[in-house]
Amino acid sequence: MKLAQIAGFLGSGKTTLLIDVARELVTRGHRIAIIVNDVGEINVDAKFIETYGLKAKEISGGCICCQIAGSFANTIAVLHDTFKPDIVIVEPSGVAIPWGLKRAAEYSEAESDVIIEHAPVITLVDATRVDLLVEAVRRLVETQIREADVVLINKVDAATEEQIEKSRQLIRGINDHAEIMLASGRTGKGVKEIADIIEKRVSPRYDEAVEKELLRKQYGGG
Amino acid sequence: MSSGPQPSEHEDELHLELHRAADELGKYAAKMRISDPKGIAPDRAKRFMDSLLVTVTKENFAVGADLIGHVKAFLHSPDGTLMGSLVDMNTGVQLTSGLTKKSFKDAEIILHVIVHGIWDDKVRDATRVGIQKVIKEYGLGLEVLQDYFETEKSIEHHLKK
Repeated sequence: MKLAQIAGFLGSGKTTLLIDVARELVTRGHRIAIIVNDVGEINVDAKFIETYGLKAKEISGGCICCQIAGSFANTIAVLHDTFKPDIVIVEPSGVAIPWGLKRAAEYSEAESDVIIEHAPVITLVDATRVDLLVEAVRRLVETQIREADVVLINKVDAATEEQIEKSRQLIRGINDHAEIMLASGRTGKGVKEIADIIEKRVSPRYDEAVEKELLRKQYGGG
Repeated sequence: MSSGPQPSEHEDELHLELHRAADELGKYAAKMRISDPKGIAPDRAKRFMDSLLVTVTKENFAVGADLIGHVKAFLHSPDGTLMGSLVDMNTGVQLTSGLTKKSFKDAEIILHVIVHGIWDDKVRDATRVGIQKVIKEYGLGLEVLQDYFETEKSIEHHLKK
């Protein structure tokens, strides 16, 4: 079963993109489940996603990459054993750390006969707010970009060329290996390409040494 | 079944500390029921949603918030759903309507307010002020079914060394 993370800061367009990509994958014959991790016990996104006829599970009580990793692993195992999706798309909360989430997902292998394969980690950057976000929540934005395999500069239909270029430079300054793509939830730009990436490509499994190195780069120390 | 690391390894202090360091946002969520025995027409529901998100955001900015994380709400009525999302005051509220043309007498609405610059207790108080203003303006009945904010963000965070 393949797990696809769509990360990104709040309001970057994760839910809209996730719905469009999930619907595209359904039309290609995939069985899709979606896991969302929202604020506290009161979830908006799962209910909105379900209005599109998609299977969505909400997990609350903390961040799924560490504080409630057990619940996340159990949800994946139960989904695998009951709904049997071939792709699970995860929309983590705005503070989830992608490598931690990979590790949490792999714990499900101890609870079921599921074998987890990871799609490339996709992070969204809101081109229209890039300046504001870097100023206010730089650490969070940097973490999500640093651990991405693919970074989508989103809302390009509403952004200026300057904002798009600034986003590109920000991403390159933090992560020199990520593939950079342009997307727009409003026009559908990038949806088929992201569906292709999730469908056809894989990202490495959790590796403690890699995570430690990423954390060291981000936060310093040993 | 593969043998992987066990969930107990997730009790990782470093990870939790990183989250606390990175999560600089104040949050409040509320699940409510709104009602009007005379009925709420879809256009009025849309105006209410727009006004609710803008007003609670302004109230949060009035007490120190300096950036919208995401302010959003999902309305579920017997005659369809309505999603509202606000991330930028200049862009305004984005509505996705699945409402029919019929009026409805009551609906559940879930509101999320996530902003930067103030902690959860202030977000809760400012949001409640905003909700009451809009409810009064639209002449609706209101019942708060459930609400949520992190106590740690309002008190303990400031005690951390």
